[in-house]
Amino acid sequence: MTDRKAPAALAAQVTDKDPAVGLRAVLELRRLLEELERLHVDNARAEGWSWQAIAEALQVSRQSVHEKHAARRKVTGLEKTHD
Amino acid sequence: MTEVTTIYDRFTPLAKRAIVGARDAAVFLGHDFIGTEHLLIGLALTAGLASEALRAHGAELTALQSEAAHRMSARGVAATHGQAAADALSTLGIDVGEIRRRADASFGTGSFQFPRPAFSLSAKQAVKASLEQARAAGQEQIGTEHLLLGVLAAEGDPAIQVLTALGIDVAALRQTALSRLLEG
Repeated sequence: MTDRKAPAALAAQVTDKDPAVGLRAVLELRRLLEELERLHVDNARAEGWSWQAIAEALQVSRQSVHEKHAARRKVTGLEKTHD
Repeated sequence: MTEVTTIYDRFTPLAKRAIVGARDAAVFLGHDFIGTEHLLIGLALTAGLASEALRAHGAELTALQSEAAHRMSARGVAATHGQAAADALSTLGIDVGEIRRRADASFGTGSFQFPRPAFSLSAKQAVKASLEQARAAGQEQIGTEHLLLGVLAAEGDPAIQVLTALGIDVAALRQTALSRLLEG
């Protein structure tokens, strides 16, 4: 797919009358978004960013970003448990 | 998912390893979710009371893996290895392969996983049931034996069908897991 065609395809897919097509597109975009958020939160922490700074960059509360990522990071050993 | 990640805090190191094993099993089989069958495989391939109990009742890892894979494909579980998800994004003009290559270069190999297998509803329920097992026994931590009882909690679950197909007495297996839990 060329770059020129991509925006038209995106517009077509996310406005398709068939719910299965549109919902699938939304699902995969959300999964991609979640994965990219995870990747960049991990990178920010590795770079020494505070939870507060990450929360501000994502325009969410510190509590919500911490809840979403801190437990997961502890499980995988990326975060110390006393945080 | 938030509740589940909070529960993870209470997992023993072995229980955490079993979850990683379950995710690896899902990725290996090309599935984009972690189901109770994957949890069962993860428990079988991790040291601990659950794999001991499974082995004591004749549930060997290789037999579990092949029976689970066979039954999942028989009931139409797609083993797409992420292709369907990547295709859906490619029609939106998003090249997942290119993102992976660049992420690997910037952040290290494997830092970007798409689609990352997420817990199925029944797997989430199994994890919650394992927490209830721990609570009922007055225990803080969730070990592999609690997880196994959580997987075996829902009557008729596909993971139970895998064990039954292998000729394993699930009621007796539950009893063994429960007695090891109470000893531990």
